[in-house]
Amino acid sequence: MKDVVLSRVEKTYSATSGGDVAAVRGIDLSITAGEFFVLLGASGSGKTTLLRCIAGLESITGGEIRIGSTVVASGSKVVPAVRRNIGMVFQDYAIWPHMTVGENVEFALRHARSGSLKGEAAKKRVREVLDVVGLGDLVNRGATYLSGGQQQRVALARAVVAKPDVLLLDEPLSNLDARLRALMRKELRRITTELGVTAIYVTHDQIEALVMADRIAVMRNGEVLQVGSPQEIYRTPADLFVGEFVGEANMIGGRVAATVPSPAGCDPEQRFVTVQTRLGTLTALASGDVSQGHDVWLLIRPESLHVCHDASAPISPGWNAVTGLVRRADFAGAHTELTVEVDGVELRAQAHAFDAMSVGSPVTLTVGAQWVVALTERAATPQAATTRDATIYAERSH
Amino acid sequence: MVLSGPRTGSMPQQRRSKPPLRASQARSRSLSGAWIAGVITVVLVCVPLVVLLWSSFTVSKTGLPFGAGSHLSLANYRRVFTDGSLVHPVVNTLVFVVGSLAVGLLISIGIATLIERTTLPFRNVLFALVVAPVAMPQVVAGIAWGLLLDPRVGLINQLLQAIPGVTGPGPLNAGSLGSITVVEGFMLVPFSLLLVAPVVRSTSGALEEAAVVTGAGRRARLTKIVLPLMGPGLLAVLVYQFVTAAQAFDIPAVLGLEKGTKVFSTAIYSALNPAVGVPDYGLANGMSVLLLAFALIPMYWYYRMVGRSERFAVITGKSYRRRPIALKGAAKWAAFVALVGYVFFVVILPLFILLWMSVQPFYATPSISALGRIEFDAYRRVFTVSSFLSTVRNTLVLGVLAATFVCVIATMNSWLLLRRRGFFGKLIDVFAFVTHGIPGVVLGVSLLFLSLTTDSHFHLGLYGSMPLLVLGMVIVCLGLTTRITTAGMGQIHRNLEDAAEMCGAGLFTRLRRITVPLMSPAIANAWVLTFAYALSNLTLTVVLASSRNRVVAVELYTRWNFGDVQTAAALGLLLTAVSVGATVAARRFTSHKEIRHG
Repeated sequence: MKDVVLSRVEKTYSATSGGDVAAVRGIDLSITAGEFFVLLGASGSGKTTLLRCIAGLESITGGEIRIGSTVVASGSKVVPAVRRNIGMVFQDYAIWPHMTVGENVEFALRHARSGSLKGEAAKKRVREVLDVVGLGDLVNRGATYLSGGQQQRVALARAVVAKPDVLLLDEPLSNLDARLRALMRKELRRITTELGVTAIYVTHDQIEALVMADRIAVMRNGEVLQVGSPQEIYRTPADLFVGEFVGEANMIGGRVAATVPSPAGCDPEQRFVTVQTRLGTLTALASGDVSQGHDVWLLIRPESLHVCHDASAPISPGWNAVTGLVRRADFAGAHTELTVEVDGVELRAQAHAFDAMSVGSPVTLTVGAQWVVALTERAATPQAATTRDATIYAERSH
Repeated sequence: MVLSGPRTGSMPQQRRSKPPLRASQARSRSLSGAWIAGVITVVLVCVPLVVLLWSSFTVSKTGLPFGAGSHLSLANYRRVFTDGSLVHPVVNTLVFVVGSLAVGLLISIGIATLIERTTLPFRNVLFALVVAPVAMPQVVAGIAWGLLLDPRVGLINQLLQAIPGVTGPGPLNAGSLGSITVVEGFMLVPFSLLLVAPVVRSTSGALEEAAVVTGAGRRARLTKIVLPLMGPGLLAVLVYQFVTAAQAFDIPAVLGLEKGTKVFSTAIYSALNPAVGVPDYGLANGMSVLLLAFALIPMYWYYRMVGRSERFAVITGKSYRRRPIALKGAAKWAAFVALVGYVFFVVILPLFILLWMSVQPFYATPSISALGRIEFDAYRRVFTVSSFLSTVRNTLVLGVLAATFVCVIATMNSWLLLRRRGFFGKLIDVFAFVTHGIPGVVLGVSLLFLSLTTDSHFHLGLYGSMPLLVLGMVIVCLGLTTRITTAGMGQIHRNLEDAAEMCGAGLFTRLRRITVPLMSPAIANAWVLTFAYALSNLTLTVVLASSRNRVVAVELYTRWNFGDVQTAAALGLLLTAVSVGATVAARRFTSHKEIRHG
């Protein structure tokens, strides 16, 4: 179990057509020993490239990578992948089809950096690890006769059998069906905790990241936008992109009117502001250096909006309330997804599954100030903006 | 919380990182072992050609390349261009190349259209029969056609003489330029068909749709759609086979050389092995450089045209919906009879005449009365001649060693090409392709000069040795083999290798335990094809021949030239059987492995 520290890591590919492509641009990260760390980003964000740089399968073109007390890559110095003592699980598992389950796992043991085991000791260790991943009975099964989930477990067993300092996982669950994926998330966490290994996990699935991670780094265009616990990333995203990437979000444009004291029931350490919007003045938690006069976006998660039919119900102090009409009500099993139009702005909210929600009926939406976050647009690109509701965007320019 | 994004990061000021390294450079430090294969490939291909080119600009007192008193001179080229003996081969070569291409490609396109686009009965069987001669050594085919077209006793001429008004000898002459051109055209058909069929197939879908949508006339469809679509594909086949025909040696050597009909490649050979007098190395040298340019330049252009060598895999093709043209009544049977006639005339008849000749004491037209003279003396002679064992041993040693070395180098080349790219990767990509443009006879001359030069300076005894022959065969086969292994390795996701690397396995362990076992069908295929090719190759073996490295193909050629037709026929059939057997075995092995690895 070792920590991994990345300092200004850069990876630039030289394109054949001339001009270089920067896949990773100056990334700083410190991953604590024993942590389950997730790199979250869309495809092309550089997360897999970064993982392969840590593995040693790609060389870095700038910066430094340290594992424990050893610098494994910096400018001129490169420790080859075979000597880094890292285990890796690949997206397509990369199980060797011409070997049995046992041979696949034993291969890793035979060539291990940490001193190779042979004979009976090796067989015992292979059995041990296969038992941990629940494949103890399949030692002699040919690798091509395994289901996706079983192959995934073999890949994991192979990656950890030699007791690596760091375990790298490259979207290991993306080829599984939804049910198995949900099961394997928990299994993977159990196994890595049991083995006590530092794990770096790459995914584009925000649910996977939120469920599994101790900490998440959200990546885009080869840069890290935010690092934090799942709760921090979800509740107080650093900017618009992160907010929209990690979950469904209502975004309302506005301008900060004033800084206000923390409402009752909220953390007094946190900073709150009032924001002028098309829906009126709303109280929100200030993210980063948001202050008076700034143009901001208010982020409200659909599930934090409370839906009331009774417009005259009293509003708790420190809560925001708006009134609108139900435009759509989509039954989704556990809840009903509502689209509510408020002053020409459509907001998404969730109601109890069996609340009778008739389209066209008036509702009041309330939300505590600490569940409304005022963000800057810092890392947003024009593309991200166009995906938002056009009416909201137009409102902002008034 | 440890917040360490790029903007808010609080890392101490780093020393400025060095200018970014190119990814490939940084990576290549750790794989010094791998590009040995790249270096070997470059050396193998370049050194003989450099020797050839350099010596072409020198003359020496002894006439040997780099012999005593060797100095720079343009005399070799002056001789090539002023010596009247070059005019004939150049004109002959042009007629031969254009004529055989016309015959070979027109037949291929015709057969491909019938098989890919129509409802002709027994399409698949006929296709297999037309392609089958690919496994027949061309020297053997040449002998068979020599027997069929002999002006006096050839079966075809005998049949033609039955026509009233036609008298012998002739009317056809095996040694004439027309005969060797048409026979070479037949030789080009099997491989051309393999290349043309996917082009024809890929055109069909688009054609049908366009026809339905626009309602254009037949002629408009042909000129506006079919030809533009097929054009690039056919042009690629044309250039590739142009290069094949330009360097063709076996057919012109077997049929034309004794009768004085020379093309470029056989003119070079006869300069080295004149009927009387001493070898004229200077003339052979100058002509070799010209022939090299004649074949290599189109090949390089072809490479630029089709791009990366993977794209050569047109044979795989996409799956287009087949909408065959329904042939009806007379047209159907006319096409069927024509195709069966071709198979009978070009595939079965040569085999039959070889078989017939091998069991007759002297040349006799097949007849009932001649059946009584059937004997197996020729086969007995083949096995009892004292030199037979050493000839067979040489042939097998050549086949096994060349195939093994080639497969090792080709596999490493594919690895460089697919996994590392970079400088050597690009170079190997070019080599895997362009080496087809190095005529066998030119490579033979280059290696001959190399061996003469090294022997006179270092006394290695390379001249006329087995190692020299193996070396030559490795070079000749390297391009094609690299393409086969590259296609095979391309099927293996690099993650499988990366996974082994993450397990701590070094490069050679990864190749040995993971990559090579997984691509073993492709390697086996490449091995057997090289083996079969080495067995049937006449060009290189005859140019580099000596009493020490005699192989079956040379034995065959010599016996044919000495008029020992019976033994030549028997030996040719045996060689064909081995070559066909090896090819069939390779197919079986491939499909078996493919099933196992799903």
